[in-house]
Amino acid sequence: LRPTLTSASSQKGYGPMIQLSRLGTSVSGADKDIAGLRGEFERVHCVKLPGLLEPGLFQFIQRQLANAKWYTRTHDWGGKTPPPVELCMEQNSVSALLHFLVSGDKFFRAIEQITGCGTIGHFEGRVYRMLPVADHFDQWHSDVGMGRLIALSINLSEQVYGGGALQIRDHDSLEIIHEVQNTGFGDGIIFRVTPRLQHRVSNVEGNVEKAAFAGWFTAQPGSQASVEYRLFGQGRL
Amino acid sequence: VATQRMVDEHVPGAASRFRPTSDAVSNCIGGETVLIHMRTSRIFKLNRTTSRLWELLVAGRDQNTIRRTMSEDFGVSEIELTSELQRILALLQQEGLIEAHTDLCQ
Repeated sequence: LRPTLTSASSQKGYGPMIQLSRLGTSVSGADKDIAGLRGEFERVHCVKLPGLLEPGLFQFIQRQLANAKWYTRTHDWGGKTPPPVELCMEQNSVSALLHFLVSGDKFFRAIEQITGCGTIGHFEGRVYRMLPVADHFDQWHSDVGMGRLIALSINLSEQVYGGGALQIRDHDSLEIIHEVQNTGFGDGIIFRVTPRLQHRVSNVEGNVEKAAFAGWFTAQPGSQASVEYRLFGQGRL
Repeated sequence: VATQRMVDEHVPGAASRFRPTSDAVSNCIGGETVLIHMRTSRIFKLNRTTSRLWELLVAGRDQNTIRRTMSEDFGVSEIELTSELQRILALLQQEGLIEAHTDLCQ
């Protein structure tokens, strides 16, 4: 298999079939469009959702990120290889807003329809930044466990960055099956979480950093309380 | 016709529209409509009636259309609905979730 490479612009012609806005999720695609995404997902285990964040909302979130606090996060990695390192945003009202936006029933149902993953009940994510420096990198991993079904990453970068591509490979053959750069502002990608696959984000290159909201749809029942918890006492936007 | 005129006359500015403010964010989570005011971080869970009202506001319906639609949806007379709608709209406006919107084209 030759790895397929998808750039941010190559799918722009489709328009935002699924969009998260201030007033909920809109799904504008016809059944055949959703079927097309499902076919692509079955083939390469990954699908891009161009324009997932409504532009106004993307700009609003961008402005809030400038005032956020960040800490260096070193992933728990078992000590065999150097652990992945990134900058992680402290929980605040922006992360609460992002969780709120992706936790809607309509968005969950759309993801289920595209991926065939079964019933989604919850989303858990974080906002991170990867800088174009040697000690910010990712390692091959699967993310399997904790009821994770599908991974989501939404590009929150201020500018178009180099590198930072999502690579997916077969767990056994180690062959790279798919590679995608998600550099469109507010674009999303979803990809499969399974023991059969591993993924990583390649090093960011050049002088522009990558920022993303990334996490997992899980099977656990939705918890309204967790959404409220995030929003209460987290300061004001 | 007389009843309809009475309802319309009973509601001040009944022909005007309200729309969500730019501070309002909403989503349907676990079957419930939830509103958040982004500057105050206040959360509002809507009951079935208010959810329907919100849906119609988001769709850009004017007050008369909203009242008629909800009257049909819930099997309640428009007269009965009028004061309740006024109360909820006032509350949403007070919380900064909606604002009056004038159609200049009309």
